[in-house]
Amino acid sequence: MSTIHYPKSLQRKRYLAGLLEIACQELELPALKWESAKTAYGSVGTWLNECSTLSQWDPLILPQGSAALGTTVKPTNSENFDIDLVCHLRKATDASCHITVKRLVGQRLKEYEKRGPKCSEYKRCWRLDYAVGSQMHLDITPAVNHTASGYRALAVPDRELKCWQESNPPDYVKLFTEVAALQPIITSELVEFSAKAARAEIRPLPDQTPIKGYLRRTVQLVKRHRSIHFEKQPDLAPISIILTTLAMRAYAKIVSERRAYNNEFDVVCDVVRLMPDFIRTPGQVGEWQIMNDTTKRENFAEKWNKPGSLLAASFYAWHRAASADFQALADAADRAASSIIFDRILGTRLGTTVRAKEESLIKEARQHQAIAITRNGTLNTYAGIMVPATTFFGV
Amino acid sequence: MPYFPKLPVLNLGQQLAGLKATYPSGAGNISQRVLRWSTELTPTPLSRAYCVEIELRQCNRPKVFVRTPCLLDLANGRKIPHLYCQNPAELCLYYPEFKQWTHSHSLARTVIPWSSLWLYYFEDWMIDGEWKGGGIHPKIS
Repeated sequence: MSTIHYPKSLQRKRYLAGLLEIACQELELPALKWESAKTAYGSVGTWLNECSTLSQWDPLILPQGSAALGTTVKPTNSENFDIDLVCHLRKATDASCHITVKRLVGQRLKEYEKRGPKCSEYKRCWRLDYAVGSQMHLDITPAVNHTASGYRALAVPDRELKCWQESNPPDYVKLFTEVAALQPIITSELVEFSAKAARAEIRPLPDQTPIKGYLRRTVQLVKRHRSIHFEKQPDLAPISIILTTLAMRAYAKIVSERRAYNNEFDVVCDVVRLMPDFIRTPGQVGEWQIMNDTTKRENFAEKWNKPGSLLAASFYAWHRAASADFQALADAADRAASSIIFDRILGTRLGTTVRAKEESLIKEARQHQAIAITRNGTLNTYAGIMVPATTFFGV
Repeated sequence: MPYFPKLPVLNLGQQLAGLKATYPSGAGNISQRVLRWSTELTPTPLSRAYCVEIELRQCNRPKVFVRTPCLLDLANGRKIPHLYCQNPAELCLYYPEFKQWTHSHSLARTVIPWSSLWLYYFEDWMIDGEWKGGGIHPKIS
């Protein structure tokens, strides 16, 4: 960072962080929806337990994936959130046939249709679709205890549905939550800036709350950028668990190395930049490993290793684009240029929503006669020279 | 009849003093009964810095021009809304009939803040072609 333009670039990056926070709030599963999802899967769990066949296996429904991690991203093509769940049959092991287990869970879930949601079969899971307006569906993957691993791992049907595969959603959630709770070093300038903002001496628009959890927000942003980048070729998109795992390790690294930041935007950029450092290429050329730290053998990048797979190359191409787009956001000449990059990261629809939110903050401040400018003519709220009401005139 | 005390008219010297005190990075003078003041405005931290020049004669309304960058170039051929004149770009900042500005109003506390707000909406307009700042367009017969 150039020291000459330091104060200006600091303000700029804080403002960008504010806009990204607004975007992430739009993307996330609203708290109320999450509450109703919990109620919904709770009653599905009770329903499964009331089945005489399944109850002997002691089923328990657990959240997994983005809903459990707090990294949900509204899909680009629908208004519905996917809530991923495992149905852990706590008294069953991988000695049972995975096809039979999946069928038995499915049969019981089909009977649940009389309670409302429509049940349909997917490759690895069963989906319960709730009424229009609920904005969610529950994807329920059956799971049993993984005996070979020697610790409390689960087994879920593998992606090709040939056998059970080791997995460990509860421990993954625990690990991610622990890493997300770590805090990078924030320099005194940012602390001071935030303190001033809190005292309403400086309240730059968008008048925002600080980024809510760097790791979770970064994961949301890279997942969104991935979905937009691969909109026309979704089969080549890196899967969410890969992005989540790499971002988690990158975040753990910046914290453990005690890197210092004077703004939140740089934290996000640094995590994005470091993501590929955690892909391992042991042994032969073209062998990729992104291991699940909470299992012994699960390699999230398994599909990359298939002959002729383009997945590794497409990950790196995406990563170059993502790093370049975040950097470009910091360097854009004006708001018009920034908005083009925002649209590349977030998609035009969300980009437009974020701009509308930013504009509504200004509008609201004008209505409350709370808009002011600083001595260098930057709009903000309540600090500096108040902007009186006016009616723009002219042809 | 309610009584509204008439505010004293500010002369050019008082206006200049107000501008100097409020925006120390700007510069200007009074020459041949014309006040000229230039200052840089950056409506948001993501915005460009615009060099704005104000011109005020004692018997006339203030004129506000954007000197750099050239708004016409930025607009790329589109007609910019809420301007008295497209080239040089002269901003329409208030509705004269509402008396939102008179010679009793300080430029530092009205015209300059309005210019920053105008530039914010201009940038918005650049993005999607829509003027979101409200206002009145005079009817042209």
